[in-house]
Amino acid sequence: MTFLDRLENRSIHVLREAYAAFGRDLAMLWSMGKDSTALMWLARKAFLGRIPFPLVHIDTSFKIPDMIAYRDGTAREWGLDLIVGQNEAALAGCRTFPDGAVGRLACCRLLKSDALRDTLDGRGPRKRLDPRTGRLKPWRSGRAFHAVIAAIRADEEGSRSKERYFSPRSGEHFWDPAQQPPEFWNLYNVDFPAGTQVRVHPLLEWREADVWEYVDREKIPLVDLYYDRGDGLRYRSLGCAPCTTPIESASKTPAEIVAELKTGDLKDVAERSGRAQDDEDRGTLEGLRREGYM
Amino acid sequence: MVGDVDCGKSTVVGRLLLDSGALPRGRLERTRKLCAEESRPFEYAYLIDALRQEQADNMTLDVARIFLKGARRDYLLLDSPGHVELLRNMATGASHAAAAVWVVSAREGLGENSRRHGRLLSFLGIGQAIVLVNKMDAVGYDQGAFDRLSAECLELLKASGLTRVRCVPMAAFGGENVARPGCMPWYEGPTVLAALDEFDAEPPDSRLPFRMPVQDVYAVARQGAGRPVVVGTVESGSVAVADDIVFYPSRKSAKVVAIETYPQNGLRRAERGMAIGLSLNRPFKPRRGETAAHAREKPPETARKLLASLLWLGQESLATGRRYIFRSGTTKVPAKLDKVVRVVAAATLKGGAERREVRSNEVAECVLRLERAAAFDLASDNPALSRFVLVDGHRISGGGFVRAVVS
Repeated sequence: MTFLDRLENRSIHVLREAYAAFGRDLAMLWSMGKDSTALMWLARKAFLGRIPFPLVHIDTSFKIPDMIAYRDGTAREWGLDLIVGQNEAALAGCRTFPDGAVGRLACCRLLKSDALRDTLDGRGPRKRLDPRTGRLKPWRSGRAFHAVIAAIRADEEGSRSKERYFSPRSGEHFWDPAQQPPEFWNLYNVDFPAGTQVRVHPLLEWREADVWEYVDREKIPLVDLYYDRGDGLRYRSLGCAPCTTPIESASKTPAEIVAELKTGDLKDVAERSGRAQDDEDRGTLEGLRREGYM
Repeated sequence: MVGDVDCGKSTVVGRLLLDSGALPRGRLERTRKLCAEESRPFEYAYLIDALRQEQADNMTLDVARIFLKGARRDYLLLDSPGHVELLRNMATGASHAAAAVWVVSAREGLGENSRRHGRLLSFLGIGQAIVLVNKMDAVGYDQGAFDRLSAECLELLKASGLTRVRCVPMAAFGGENVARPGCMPWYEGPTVLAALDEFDAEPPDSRLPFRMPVQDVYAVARQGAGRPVVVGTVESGSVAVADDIVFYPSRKSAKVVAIETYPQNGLRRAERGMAIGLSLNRPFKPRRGETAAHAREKPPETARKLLASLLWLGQESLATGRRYIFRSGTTKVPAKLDKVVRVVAAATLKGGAERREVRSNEVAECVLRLERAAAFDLASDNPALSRFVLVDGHRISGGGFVRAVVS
């Protein structure tokens, strides 16, 4: 097996462990970014074609429009059970950074961390893709998801380097990195007291370049914002439009991006350098992530 | 990467990243600037110990996964905490490692906790290690000091069964012998970075029998008919289409009709590490927790009573009368401690007096009694399939290896 094969097989093993442990309590986060889309690809492999749990998108309403079009198209094509959650109260009250009411970090907390918690718990408003019409419609259900698969990677930033494959959070989604249980070999933690939220991280040991090599090898269709579309600009990391800036790069294919990351201009530039919220948290996302940020 | 608190382990890792060119541009400058703003002296360790509390206490709290480039291959460093209260995190890091880097301090020497780390490396199954004798600057780069401490470390590792070891003198803060030779002309060996490249990739043992713990059974619709697919990861050996396999402990047998992947790629043989699905020629569904083996190879052990060596990390002692969950492969079965054969104090690994319980951070040999028979291999035959953890309440509180079946 190649290095990429080993990463792939390990992630599939973790996905199957998560489903065996959590079943109907399990959902997977999908941001339409390269990592969570590659993870979705892995989930199709793990479950032999059909992903047996919902995909959850936390929609801040500030995502780049191309991402939403890509989301809806891919969901229909792959037959995904798509659930979309949003902090409608914060948006209605204009408590956002683009509205000028709060800072970047507070905006992330409201539109992402809080929205994620409320969407998983079922406290917040949720929409679900209607497979017949292909449209989102309000989903009124008490169903809660106590375990969620997230496509974070250890090499993204400091607090993510401290994660486990299976990581417990408090009922309010707080993370205490100093109190994580041991994780021996591949005998992951799957027993938790009622009320615990669990985050599962199958891509923990993938690096940015590994994901791009995998996207290239598997020909995974991604939103074209990642590629230079003729103006010499592309996004390296996708977030909300007001806090994400494209980089100067002429890479038009996954293979060109791999070369750019390994030996080219991006060899020693941090992946999230185009994500403005990171700078406001002492260069890490620790504060946000302790509170439940993905 | 293991080492007691204050041995300078995170400084070593920070320096390794910096000197091998693995740090993103601007990261060093930004960390220096943050230190200046917060009026504290800069430490290379802050490049690694990302958490606020870690920087405030100058101590690693949890395992960090750090990527490093060597001349020969890329590395994933599992930077593990040293503090005795954080042994569970040290064990977490070490249980995932293919090789160990053990950092000791030339100034502080080998304390009890440091010895404990050294001994746990081989207990957790690590076969090769580098000992970094750090802070050589604090002892005047004295060869005698290095020779004495490295001999002590080698003796300790050898006594616990770890023999493929190399020792490197270094001073992390100044970068001596990290990526470039330092001011120790008497030392002619490799730098730390070069010593990493000397590690051998552990080849899979091709003589081991086929084992696949069953993770689940999926119903896959194909050509209108649903059929069960048994999924799992091949933990040792290999399996091919048309092989006769047996599931343990139920001993039900079947023939492999197809190896299922998505998209179906016609795979005929699956090897160690592959996460696969098997279609069988019989409609029965094995259960999660059974282990598939080849009908013509050595079967796994199936037993209810076993001798195990384990590291206990629970806050409450491991004690008779209490009910635990034994997990091995995908097996999950209630278990009780039958008796403590021998407590090996984790710090010294010497036999102790007779005991009825195993306390936190101790290594012990014990007899466990399972509520139902489980399938596993012995550590001497097939270590991966002999691994287990014990769950106390909801928490993994110990881990170890099955040594023997007790009749």
